[in-house]
Amino acid sequence: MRLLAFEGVSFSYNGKSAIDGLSFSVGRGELLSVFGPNGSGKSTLLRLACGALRPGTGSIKAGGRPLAGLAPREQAALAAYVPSEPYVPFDFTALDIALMGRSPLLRWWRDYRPEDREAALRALDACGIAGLAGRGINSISSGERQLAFLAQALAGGAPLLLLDEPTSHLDLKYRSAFFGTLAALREGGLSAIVVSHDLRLAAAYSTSALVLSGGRALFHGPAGEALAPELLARAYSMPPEAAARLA
Amino acid sequence: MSSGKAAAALLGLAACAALALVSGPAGADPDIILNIRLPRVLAAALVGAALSVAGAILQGVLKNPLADPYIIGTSSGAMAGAAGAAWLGLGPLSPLFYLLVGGGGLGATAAAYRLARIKGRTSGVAMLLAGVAVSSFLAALVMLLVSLDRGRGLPLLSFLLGTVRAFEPAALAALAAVTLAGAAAAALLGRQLDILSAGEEGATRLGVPVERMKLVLFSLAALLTAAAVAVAGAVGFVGLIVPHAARRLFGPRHAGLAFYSAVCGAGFLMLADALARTAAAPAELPAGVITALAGAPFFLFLLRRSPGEDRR
Repeated sequence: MRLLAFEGVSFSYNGKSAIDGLSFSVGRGELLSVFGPNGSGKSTLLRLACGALRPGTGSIKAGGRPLAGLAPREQAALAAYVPSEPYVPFDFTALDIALMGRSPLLRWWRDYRPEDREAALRALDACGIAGLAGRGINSISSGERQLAFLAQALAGGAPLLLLDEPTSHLDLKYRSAFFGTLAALREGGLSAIVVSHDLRLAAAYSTSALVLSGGRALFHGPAGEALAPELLARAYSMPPEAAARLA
Repeated sequence: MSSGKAAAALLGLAACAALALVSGPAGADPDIILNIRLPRVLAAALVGAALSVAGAILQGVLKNPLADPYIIGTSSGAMAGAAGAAWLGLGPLSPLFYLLVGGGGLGATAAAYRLARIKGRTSGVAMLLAGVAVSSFLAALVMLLVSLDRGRGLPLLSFLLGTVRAFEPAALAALAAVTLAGAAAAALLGRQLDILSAGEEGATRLGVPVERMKLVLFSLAALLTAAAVAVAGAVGFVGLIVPHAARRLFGPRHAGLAFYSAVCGAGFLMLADALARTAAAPAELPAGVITALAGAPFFLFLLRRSPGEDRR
């Protein structure tokens, strides 16, 4: 089943093209890495995928239905978003953060129910931070904080996760822990689109990859092949030998 | 929200009320307590609660622990309304006074909101900046009126400093209704406010109608603030420090925070007003002077004591 499908999607900001005729799809159990230089359209792709932006031309389908026709609540039930470097000014607990992921399932005046609490705790557990449930989100490490936001995305039960450079500010240990968690979740049947600059790490854990340049797909296929030096050299406009050392 | 903590908070509130009722230069005369102090203590409690709930809402929406009810322009607008009323010779006994103060407060907030709105979105930073600009402009206007009209300037000055006065029962009833409804609404929207305060990007994706919610919450805060200003002038610091203290004591979730801010704010201003009445008796100090004198050091103490939030 296609969880999400882009069909000839183009999008421009005030006449400046950001995504240009892009087609791809994500199926169940697929972990898709999106690579490309800054300004190549990676973040725009994620914003389109979660319905925050509407395509100029082409269509985006989620679960076989046009994304634009879905209510925010239905969109949230299909795909959950993990932000890049979440800053929370107030010291909510990790459990509070995970619980927020249950919000789309509730009417606006309702408080969380016992089953929401259970789902949030299960999500924290799946991310390996069940022991931090009662800790303040600003008193744990940035890697653990990122995992709490992954738990938030999981708690809502959406089959597709959208991650925007989730590991860009983490050290090596947490980068690999984060991708390890993602891979375990994928084996449990979850799908994800990950925008990342961690080419090697992301490719190692992904099933497929999409390389963007100037809003177009330079490559869409098995993750391992995305690291070919000639491909990266073209995408990032750099000499192939430099690309070979990087990837 | 645990029932034990709620009971403790209410007990503390009752203690503050009792203390405020018996303290005063005339001692504990039942007649004075019932007829003179009770309405005033009640007014102080309501003003404190309204400002604190408004502060809790604004700190949440603006994701800024330093936001307070005056930062989005409400207070300056209300002040300008009061100055205009004084210019027209209207005092707190005229219903038109309340209309001008309320209208000024809501009008200034709406102006800041409109100015901060760019391409259908109102960012927290833009709202803060627009609020500061609107505030400064209107505050200068008020000062202009005060300097031009020395005769009426003095009562206006005490209003500017924040003084809980004797009131119209109708104004008190209106303040009570606004405060209770505002606190209840904030508690009901607590879950959405939590999500907004943890990041706007994520809030949309969690099904929160961000712009609509902001409009509702700003209106709510402005209404609470304007109602408080109409009765007591600009009492500073309450709306800034009380939500902070409540958050430290009872946690950051807004459903509980709305309740605890109301309770703590009521207790704090009752005590501050009691001190304002007694400290320099028979002279009376503006309650706003007491809240700032007591509030600023307490605020610094809180900031320095606990790690975690506000320290990034």
